[in-house]
Amino acid sequence: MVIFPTQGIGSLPKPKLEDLLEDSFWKKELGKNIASAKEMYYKGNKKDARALFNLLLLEKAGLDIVYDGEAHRIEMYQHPAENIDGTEFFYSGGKKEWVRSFDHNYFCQAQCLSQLGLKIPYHLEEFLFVIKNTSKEIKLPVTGAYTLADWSFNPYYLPLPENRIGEPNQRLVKYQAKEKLAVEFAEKIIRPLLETILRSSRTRLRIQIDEPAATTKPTEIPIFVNSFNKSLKGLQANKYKASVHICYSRDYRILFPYLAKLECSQLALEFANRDGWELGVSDEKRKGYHVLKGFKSLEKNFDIGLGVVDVHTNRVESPELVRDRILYAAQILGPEKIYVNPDCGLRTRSLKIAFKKLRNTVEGAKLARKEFEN
Amino acid sequence: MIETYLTGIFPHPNRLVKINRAYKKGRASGSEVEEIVLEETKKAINLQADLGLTQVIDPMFLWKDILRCVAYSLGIKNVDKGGVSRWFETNTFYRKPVIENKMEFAKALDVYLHPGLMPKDRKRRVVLPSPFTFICLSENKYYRNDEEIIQDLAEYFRKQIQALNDLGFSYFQFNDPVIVQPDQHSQISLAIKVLNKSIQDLPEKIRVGLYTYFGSASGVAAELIDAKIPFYSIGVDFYSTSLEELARKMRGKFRCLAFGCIDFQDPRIENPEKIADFILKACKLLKPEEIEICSNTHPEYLPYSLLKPKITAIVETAEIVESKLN
Repeated sequence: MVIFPTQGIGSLPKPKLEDLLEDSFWKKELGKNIASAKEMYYKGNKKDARALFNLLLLEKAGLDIVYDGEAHRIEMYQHPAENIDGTEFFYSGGKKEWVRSFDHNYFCQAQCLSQLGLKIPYHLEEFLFVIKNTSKEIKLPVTGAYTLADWSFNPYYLPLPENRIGEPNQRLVKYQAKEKLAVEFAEKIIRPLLETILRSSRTRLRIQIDEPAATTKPTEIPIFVNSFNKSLKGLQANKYKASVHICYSRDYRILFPYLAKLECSQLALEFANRDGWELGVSDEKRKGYHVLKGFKSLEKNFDIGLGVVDVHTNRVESPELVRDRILYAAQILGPEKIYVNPDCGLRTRSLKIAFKKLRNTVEGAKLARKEFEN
Repeated sequence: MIETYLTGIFPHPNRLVKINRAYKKGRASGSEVEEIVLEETKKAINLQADLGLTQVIDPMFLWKDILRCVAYSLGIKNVDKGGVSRWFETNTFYRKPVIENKMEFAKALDVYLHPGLMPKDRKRRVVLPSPFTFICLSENKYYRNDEEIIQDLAEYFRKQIQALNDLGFSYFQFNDPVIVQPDQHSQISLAIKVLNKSIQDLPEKIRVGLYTYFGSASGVAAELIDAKIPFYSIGVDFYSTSLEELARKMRGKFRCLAFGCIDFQDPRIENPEKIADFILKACKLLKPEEIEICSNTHPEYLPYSLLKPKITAIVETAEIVESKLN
């Protein structure tokens, strides 16, 4: 593989597909291939149509490693939670209720009321569709056990509020309840899901375990590491390559003491969100990437999925800015350790903005490769 | 009568979620959003009054996070372009205000707080970020030192509180999760300085409380009380604070202790009898002169449908405590 391979992280936005399929912009960008997506759509296979559209978009952007923009999924938490026994959502007037994450972005939070079980292997069907419809290398994103536990209310394991109020060791009680839940997600849900999917995969599959919650509570990082490893325990090692995606940590250095035990080869992290927009490869210009020096000094040598575009702004990074972010990282880690991706999923942007950011990610990687060749 | 109230941003009802999403996708206009915000704000204010809370707050549907509207009204430029940071150990985020120009009282917060919708027969409370939390969670690129920031920020808060008091709000609350974080204990002097300056010389009719959450108050309660900042009340999140430890570390007494005793990060509804028992036990140990009963944190971490039973739990707990104290 060439240096600085480019990859998606996960979600793409979901505007009205009918509008996209008739939009002259997309017709021009995706060419006659759009006809297949259109056919699927008008036959009633709307999710497949969107998945195909997204694959075409990602391939047109030029990404080396793709998936389907999570077209078949409602959202990274809601989709698994709906397919798991033991979880329940909240309803008002027959409709699911939402809690806010930021600005006007919301998610449905479930509560775990009993022992967990997999209703169906909820990513299998979409996975089979993707392998049938792309010749590019695939990376399957899967919401991780710790995040599923962290984003769920936990009445199953947590004592009642009136039995905890004002008690000493409240942190420990919450920790133990979280640990039990995360391990249950790992052993009863993620591992059997991956086992099923790997049985259907003819090639070595890249699996990205999404753990945005991993560093939100620094004292719980051991729970994240333990549940991550338990999610993969017993899987045939030659059938997969695992990475973890973590984002918006206050400080990635809090992971350092624990990473030696984490059984994966790549850390896909967000950096662009904290970086400046000026060009340059100096420490002063690339403040968002200083922490890479710490990763360099770790005992275990991870590949880094380098976040090079900010998914929380409509401002589109130039290929030159992406190039400089990559080159700065390469100075520290060496080019062979770097994969290039957006900071996170792009579902909070418009599709055109997402496309431009992905395209410039690819162009920036090309420019960076050229610098190395020179 | 024991004062009862909620302590922050409300969850969004489905109707508001729907219109906000539609607006984001360009499928609804600003005026359509405004209409629904007004209707739902009125419902949320009436819900608090109808269920018996003694103080009502605006549900803060226009506040994307606790710092945002204050940042706008400080005249901070490009507020919506700041990086997104996680709000403590929750799954919500805030935009970090980046201070690149002088902060001053640019506008009153009434546009975000709907004073015209407040019931006449209820005390009106305003939830604001504490100036200490605001300083710690912003990025300063303008001021040369702490003194300068404190000067301008304190002046802003005094003016803002006064302006809102003129509109009928008499109870104010500084939400301060930062002050109870263990890694911030060394900053307690700065905290005391800016908190003091922000409420000094306000008329007595204006009551300002400090509400702490997401951390144990036992690390700072003694210093806060010793500092004699003229807070009307100090609030403690008892789902983050051990009563034993707080009692052990206290030197003086709370003039008024606000019990954050209904957990808005747990969907189960508390048994008011048991919560009341806890409060009574705590009162024996801590001996506050007065008490208030409230949510432990922002209500926004639970779905909207749980507001009613949780508020009811607050009110019923207060009734039980009151009857037992009498």
